[in-house]
Amino acid sequence: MRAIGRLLFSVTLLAGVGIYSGETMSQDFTSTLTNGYVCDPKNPGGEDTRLFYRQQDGLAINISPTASFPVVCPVQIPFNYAPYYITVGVKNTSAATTEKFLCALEESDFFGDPVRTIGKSVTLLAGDANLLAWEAIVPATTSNYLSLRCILPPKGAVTFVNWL
Amino acid sequence: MKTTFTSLTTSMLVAVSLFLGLKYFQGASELERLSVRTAELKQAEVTTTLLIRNLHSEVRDIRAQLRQFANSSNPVNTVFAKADSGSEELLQRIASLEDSINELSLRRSPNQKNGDNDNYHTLLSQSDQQSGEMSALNRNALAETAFNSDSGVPLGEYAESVEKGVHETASVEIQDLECRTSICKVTFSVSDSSTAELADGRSEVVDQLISRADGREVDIQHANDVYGNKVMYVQLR
Repeated sequence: MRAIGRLLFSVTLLAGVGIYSGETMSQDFTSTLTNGYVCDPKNPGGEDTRLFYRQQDGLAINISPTASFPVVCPVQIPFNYAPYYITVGVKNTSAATTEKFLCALEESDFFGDPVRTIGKSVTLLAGDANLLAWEAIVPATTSNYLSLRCILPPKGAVTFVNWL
Repeated sequence: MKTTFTSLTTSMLVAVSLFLGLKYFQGASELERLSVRTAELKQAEVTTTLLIRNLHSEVRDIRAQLRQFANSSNPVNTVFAKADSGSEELLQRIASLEDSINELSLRRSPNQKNGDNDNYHTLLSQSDQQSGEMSALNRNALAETAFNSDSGVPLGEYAESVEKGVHETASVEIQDLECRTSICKVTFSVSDSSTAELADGRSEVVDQLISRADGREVDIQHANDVYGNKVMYVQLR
């Protein structure tokens, strides 16, 4: 009797797992969320970057109280799945000053030439975080690709990058 | 007791067999339905691909006509810089066709992932079709159409900010700046003698333009004009 019970339990469990797996596999996972480590200094040899750029606590952060410098972040989009939705999180880690963050979504073509830039900015109070979002982006051709460039103000950080 | 146990076991086995049989037939039916759907999608993909190919071909033909027209009517080939009514019509036709191509590309099934071969052939065909310079010229032609139609979000005071911003950028030489109601056109060149720190003049201009937009979204199209100058078309979104 116990053997039959175990058999029935096993069959039911396997059927359940099979159905769950089928449903899970049928979903289309194309959204990616990653922390600030994905970004890198735009000018790695620049003095400010060398002195003040850090990747720590999941952030790409400028620890200088005065200097600003740009970072670049890749955006990996699935081929021919437009429109795309890109979001970048930014944070003002300063305890005292308000800072302005500039970010540009840059589209380049097959030849590596710039095609389009969509720029946004946000001003954050001390300790605040926010996000900048680009919605329904359709590159001019399917072979064009995207990247992000942000100016990190003093004590500014990129917290995450998300693309869909 | 033994008889009861045997009959219970048999009943259980029959129930399990019935359950598995039912699932098998449901699976077979689902498989058949998926096969039909796959065939339909393949057919739709072939049709869409053919449509896109035909549209690409038409765009190439029109561009060839445009170049021929430019060469025959003007030896310095300024058709992209100042479109007359004939070339304007052709440019609008190109823009319309390219919109259709993009729309068709978007309508392709998201479940139909393009394999590496597809990506490779697409990229290869695009590199075959035109050089980087030609690509920038084509973008310029389309952006000129947008510039002439001037139908975007009004710039208002931002137009002045654009002028101040580009003139404050040290690493580029501004050739021309013209602002209309909803769009500014900035023609510039980057000096070859720029030092390493100033080498990315375009980014410097872009940062100035974003910074002065007061949190509004700035849309910048990049192109080259027929004289080889870099051009930015600046709009608000």
